[in-house]
Amino acid sequence: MDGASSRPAVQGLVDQYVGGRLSRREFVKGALALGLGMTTIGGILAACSGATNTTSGTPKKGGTLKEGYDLDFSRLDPINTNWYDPAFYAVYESLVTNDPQGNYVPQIASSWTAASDGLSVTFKIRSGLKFQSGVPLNASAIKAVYDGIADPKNGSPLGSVWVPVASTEAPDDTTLVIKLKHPYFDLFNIVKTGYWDIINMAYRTQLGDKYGQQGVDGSGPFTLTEWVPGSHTSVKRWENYPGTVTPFIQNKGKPYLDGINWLTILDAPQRAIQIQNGEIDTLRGPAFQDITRLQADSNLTVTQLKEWSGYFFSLNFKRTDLGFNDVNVRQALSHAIDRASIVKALLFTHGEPLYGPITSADKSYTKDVEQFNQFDVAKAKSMLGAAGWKAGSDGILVKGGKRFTFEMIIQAESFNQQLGSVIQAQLKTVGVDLKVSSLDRGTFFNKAFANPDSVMFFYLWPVPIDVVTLFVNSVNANGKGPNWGNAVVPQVDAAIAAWQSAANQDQLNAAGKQFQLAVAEQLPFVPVINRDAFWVNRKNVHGWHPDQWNLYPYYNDVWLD
Amino acid sequence: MADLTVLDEKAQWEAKVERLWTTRPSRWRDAWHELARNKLAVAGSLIVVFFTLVAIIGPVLAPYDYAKQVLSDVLLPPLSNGHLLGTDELGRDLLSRLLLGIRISMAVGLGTTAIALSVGTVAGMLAGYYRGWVDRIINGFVELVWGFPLILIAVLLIGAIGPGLTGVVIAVGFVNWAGFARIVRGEVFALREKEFVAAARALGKGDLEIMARHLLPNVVGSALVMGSYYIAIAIIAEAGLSFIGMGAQPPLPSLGQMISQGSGYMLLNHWLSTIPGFVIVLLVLGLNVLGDGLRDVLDPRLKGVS
Amino acid sequence: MVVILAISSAVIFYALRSAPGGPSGGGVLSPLSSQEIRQAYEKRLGLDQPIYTQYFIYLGHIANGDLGTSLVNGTPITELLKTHARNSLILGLTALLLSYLIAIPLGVLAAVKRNTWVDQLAMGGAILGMGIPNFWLALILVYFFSLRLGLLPSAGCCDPPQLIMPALVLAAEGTAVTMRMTRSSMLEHLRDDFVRALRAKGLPEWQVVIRHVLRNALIPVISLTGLRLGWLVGYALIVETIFRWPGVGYLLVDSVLRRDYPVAQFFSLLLILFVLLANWFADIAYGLANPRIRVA
Repeated sequence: MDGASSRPAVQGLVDQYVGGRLSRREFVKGALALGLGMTTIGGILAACSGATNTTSGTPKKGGTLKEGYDLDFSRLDPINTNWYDPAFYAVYESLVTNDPQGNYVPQIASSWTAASDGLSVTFKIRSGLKFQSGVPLNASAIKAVYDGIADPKNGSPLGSVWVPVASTEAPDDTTLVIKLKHPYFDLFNIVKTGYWDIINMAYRTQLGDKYGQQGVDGSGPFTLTEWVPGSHTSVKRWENYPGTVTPFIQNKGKPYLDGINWLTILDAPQRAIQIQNGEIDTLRGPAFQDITRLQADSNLTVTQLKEWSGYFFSLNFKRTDLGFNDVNVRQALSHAIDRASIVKALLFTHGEPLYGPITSADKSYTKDVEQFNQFDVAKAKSMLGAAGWKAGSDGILVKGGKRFTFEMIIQAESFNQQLGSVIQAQLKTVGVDLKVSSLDRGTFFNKAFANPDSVMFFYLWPVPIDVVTLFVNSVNANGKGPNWGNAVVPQVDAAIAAWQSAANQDQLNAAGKQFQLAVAEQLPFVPVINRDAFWVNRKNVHGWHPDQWNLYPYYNDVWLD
Repeated sequence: MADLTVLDEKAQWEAKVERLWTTRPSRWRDAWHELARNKLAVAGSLIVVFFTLVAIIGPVLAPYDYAKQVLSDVLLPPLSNGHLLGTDELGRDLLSRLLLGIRISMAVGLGTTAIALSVGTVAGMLAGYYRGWVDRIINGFVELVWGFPLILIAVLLIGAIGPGLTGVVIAVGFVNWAGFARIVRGEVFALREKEFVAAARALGKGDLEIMARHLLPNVVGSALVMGSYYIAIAIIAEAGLSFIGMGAQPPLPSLGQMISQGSGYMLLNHWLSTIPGFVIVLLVLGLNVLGDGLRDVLDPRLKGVS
Repeated sequence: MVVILAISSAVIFYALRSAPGGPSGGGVLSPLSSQEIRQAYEKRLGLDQPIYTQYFIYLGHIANGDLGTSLVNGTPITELLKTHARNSLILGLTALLLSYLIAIPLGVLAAVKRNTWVDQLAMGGAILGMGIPNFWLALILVYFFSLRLGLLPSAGCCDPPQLIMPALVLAAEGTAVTMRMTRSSMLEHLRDDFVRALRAKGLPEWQVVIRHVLRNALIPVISLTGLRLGWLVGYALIVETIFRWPGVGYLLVDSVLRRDYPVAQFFSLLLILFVLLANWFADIAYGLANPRIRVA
């Protein structure tokens, strides 16, 4: 056998073997067929053994990814959804997105320019894009979506963050212009989120309530096959996906995976069991007590990231009899909460106390919030005493014959219940009798809007200040939005206004700082803790990279061994 | 003289009835002795008595407040300093919570069974005695409710009124009374034909008196046997409902609740779930064995058979 | 039976709709939506009308054969019925089969070897089986077989390995009861006269037991099947929820929690109907088997 002529063939075999596409046996067979002797083959194999590296191998097409998710699914309708869940990243795309370093990069828009006066932003839309139904995705289609969000009829709870937008124009198919009432530097943070994903609005209007249930029409690399909240969501590869221009996504064409199946696993300990068993391939959010065990499992890779989330509880300003409209009373209750202990005991240190509304990992975080809401039982007691409350015979505070007792509603889920229990016990030490009611979904949100004394909730959003404004903006009180505590705090409203009219990064940062300080001091809600995000994948999953800036990983690059 | 003969007969009847009546107390004495000979039943009753005592005075003797959290002492194993059974995920002493949990379980078990037994016995008595349309109506309800999956009712009921022990008690009581009614009704059917009832009626005793003085004591035995089993069923039902979140709400430490909360820590801290589980198993075992023993004693027909 | 169903349907309808909460929080709408949007949604569903009006509208739909669709994800109930009923039947029948396969041989053995250690062991096991709460058993099994040994999947459907643990847990309590019943029944029938005659004829013991006595002894046990099916329904709710087995029980619990009214209504009525049928079947079977009982 002529060595020279067969060398490229041998090299090809070696490449394939090293890339993991050939088994050892197949390699030997192929090499023998090329006329190599066993000694030579043995030598090659020995040299290759260190280099066999499936992680950087060639992606294989096929397979269905089974992903475990720690929350229930929300409707696949960006305009009216709960929080957007992983399926959004498979089925939809937005104008821009973030890369793993936090920069804005193209997705549907290929480039953009902001006017020098800051009053408009012009996006160049990629040409020839289509929705999964075949309908063209051009600037007018995008305009329809943004107008839809602004239209209160559609019930988007996010209308209040779109207020600075004066109008959206689509002068031609590939140009989108967003005109602003005043400079709105935060705009990019908004349009990159799943809530501003681009959908086929005509189809949405046609399906009405059934959009996001029975069918969706987006432009992402996968199409929806089944959506069963409480159980699973399934998608399959869209064979006509035109590809992506997003720089950090390596696979510019159709995804490798045949499909993805997300399972909602609401029972926290079950999540770790399932990924260790191989019942699922990837997982978001194992129970905190299982983290160490998962990190020690050699079949798994655990990624820990800071999470843009927060647990907080509201205090209904309308309970004037308890003094919830008095900032001193709210601060007193906040001082009774030992946030650091909660992080240690419930989160196993995987998180941090929230003295202000947002996590320290956020760009705009200001350390100045830490002077507020520190754990101080003595201070709490004295502030409550100053407000006229005296301890009764059973230790509970009494004022004018009225006991300091109120009810907090929480969503029925084990971590919420633990946190609720802890808050209950900690408030008891200052003489407050808190009742915690754990409600199922159907009841919880109905009651949240029915003037409950207190609601405990969890937010999750990549630009936390935006979502926090929803909960504390006075325009969202009285049933208009999720300001369940009916909080009216002028300093907070002013800070929100400053945030929404920021014209550049510096102004945005300043407004962000102003907002955090206002919330931390005035407590339109009481922040408690922030937790870290944990992602777990089995070693046979490649190209799956959750990052800090996007709530979920993109699935274009994912392939299975 | 005709008057005197009638008086004589009356006196004879009365004597006969009184004799039948007075044989009952010694029957109980015999039963008691028989029971004492059955070692298993004795063990069972000791267990039940033990748990009843624990339920009554246990929580008073608890070393800690069951709700007191010590976040720096979470998940301590049993036999740790100051915590005989360790602590849970919020640093609460497991032993103290267990004691209260036993009280809750016993209370729910006894409470619902007491209600079910009273309602069921009355219903069964009425149905069995009066027969006819009274029986048809009552029995209709009984049949409807008897085979009913308890959980189904509980889920619907608690879906309607919200979670909590109230819902559990109503749901469990609602289904269990039928079991008693069935048994009592069956027994009364049989007893009704017995001579002493006819005798009593001939003596002019009212229905109520007959039911209370003559029939009731005879059915009490079976009712007790059922009672023992049903307390066990009620305890398991309450635990099950609390486990899925529909029963006792935190921080109340129902045994089912504790098992549910501890289920997330099985690998490293399994005692949080296994200990309350063992308690339930032991308690239910005791009740079942006691029930078996009572049945053997009060229904000798079945004695050799189990 | 029809009367019971009709009354039940009205009661369930009322109970569900007057309970606090509604489907607007159940997953269709954003929970952050304003009251206005929520109310508009409920109006579209006709939930703002008085309950009796809603009930008549509902009856009208049923009369037309329209069972409705899930409020949460729009699937027609007929489709839900097909998949979930099939899953529940698979689980239930497997559990039933398992329990008979285990309980009857053990019960026979215990009866034949009465008062020996075999008997004590079997009966001890039975008493234990009756005492173990099924959710606790599920926890222990998952702990051993999924967590520690990694042998069995811990949840989900529908591969055969995923059926094993739920079926075992579901079968547990019934197995214990059936074992005790089989033993009692066997003991009773082992004393029948004809048994002595058969033995006198020189028939080997096992033939006497298996061929002749067992047949008679099994009658009350089998006739209890109807009731067993009824009880299974109750336990299945918990087992399906724990193991996330998408059967009717799981669907019922989930739909009640989400206030998915059409689904909750339909499936609770379905379960009630099933229980009624099972009880009725049990009564007939028992009456056939035991003519004495029919008189009472």
